Amino acid sequence: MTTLELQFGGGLEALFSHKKQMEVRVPDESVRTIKDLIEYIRTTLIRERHDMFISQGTLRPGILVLVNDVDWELVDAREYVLKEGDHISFISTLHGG
Amino acid sequence: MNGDSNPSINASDVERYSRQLLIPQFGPSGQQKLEKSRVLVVGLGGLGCPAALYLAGAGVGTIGLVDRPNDVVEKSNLHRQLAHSEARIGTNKVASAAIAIQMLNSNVAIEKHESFEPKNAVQLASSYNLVLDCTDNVASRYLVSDACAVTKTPLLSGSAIGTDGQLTFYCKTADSPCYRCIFPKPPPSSCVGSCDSAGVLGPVPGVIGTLQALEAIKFLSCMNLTEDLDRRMLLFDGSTCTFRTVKIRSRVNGCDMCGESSQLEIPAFDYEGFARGGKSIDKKALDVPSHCRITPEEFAEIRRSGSSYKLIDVRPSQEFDMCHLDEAESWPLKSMEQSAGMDRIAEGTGRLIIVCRRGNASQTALRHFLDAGRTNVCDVIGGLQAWHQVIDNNFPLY
Ligand SMILES: [Zn+2]
Repeated sequence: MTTLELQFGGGLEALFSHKKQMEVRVPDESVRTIKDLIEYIRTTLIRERHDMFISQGTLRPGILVLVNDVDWELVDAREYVLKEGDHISFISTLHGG
Repeated sequence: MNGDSNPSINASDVERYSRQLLIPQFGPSGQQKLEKSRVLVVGLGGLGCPAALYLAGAGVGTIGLVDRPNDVVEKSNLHRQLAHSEARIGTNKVASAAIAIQMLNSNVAIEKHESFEPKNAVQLASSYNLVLDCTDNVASRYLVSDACAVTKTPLLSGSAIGTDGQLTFYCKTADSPCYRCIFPKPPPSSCVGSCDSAGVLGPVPGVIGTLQALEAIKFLSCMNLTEDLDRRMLLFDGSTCTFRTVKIRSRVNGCDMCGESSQLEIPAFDYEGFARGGKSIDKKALDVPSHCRITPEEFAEIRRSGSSYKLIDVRPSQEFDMCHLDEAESWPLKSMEQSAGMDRIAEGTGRLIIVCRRGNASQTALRHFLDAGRTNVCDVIGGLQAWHQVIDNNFPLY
């Protein structure tokens, strides 16, 4: 099992009973990369409004993913291999002003 | 007086700007650079008001102001858009902000622009040293960024909603990302909140707009502090009063705007259509027959006539608690769409009238009733907003 700290912001926390952070323990065989983690979140953590998180089988546009406060594009994006204790953030971009 | 300081700052300016001149990294040379600077503030709402006022206070030489041509000051703006005032409700926001800036610092040259659109965005952006994105919608954010990317104009982009805020620097150097580098596709419109619909605590855009001004002042005065928000994004969570700064990617070679093979032509690009592109509301769901829709006048007539009907208000419960018509029953669309709600929907045969805030959610609800085989049901065109405008202006507008 891998222990991860998940963080949600920019309104996405609404999908997780308004919890902005939560610790999860995920099976390391089936949840190896962030891509696997997104599927894990979709199937086990989200109960309604999946369209706020996933569209066309992938993370919906407008969500910034961070690995330990670094843009996932700088660390292999979907293929990033999760490590024990990683902080993975999903931040929805805001448009209001 | 002040014989040793830079001779080109006059005595009155030394007094006015003394507290910032005392900052060693700023000093008289920083002040002179500010006075020669031209900044464009796009959007004079919750972000643009504090940003423009602080820039004016600091003595930025020229401030350009632009907003939607028909955007006027409304009462519901005043809790956060502090450059405006009660007396200027109904006034164009650019004109109203210009008055506030002029009153604060008459040295500032103000340039008022009528609109920021695909046809003039490039020309506008190119005539300023820095642009502040203080807009409130997806289409404008792409347009502002595209114009800055193509003209290589640094862009400080702020946003806020609810108790959350974000701020970053786009297009600052040749390696900096633009907005499209980070967000190549717009979010589905069902995932986009606006301050008008989702609400916002006034100081939240106040914090972000103020920080936009701070970053602008440091950049324009060339303070050369080691870190700025280039390739970093500030995330503000007002609910816990937490600031976080995260590292974001550099310019993306394959970016539709600033990438090497970009073919995007700003004047020809359909920004509104692009922003709506991520639309996830089923278009068919809104396809309700016109005979099932009544005008506010027709509804008023039904009310007056004393004939029997049930009024269902499908807005979220907190909006219902804010204000509702006396006879209305609250049945939020969200709970209607859950399975227990759908079971109840076909019950009864009496006349049903559905109302919401603006006449959109009520159509979706109407569709559900019709699909469930319910007859004798209609919705009010334009919702409670139209009710306020046409029938009863004592009913709150929000
Ligand atoms: Zn780009």
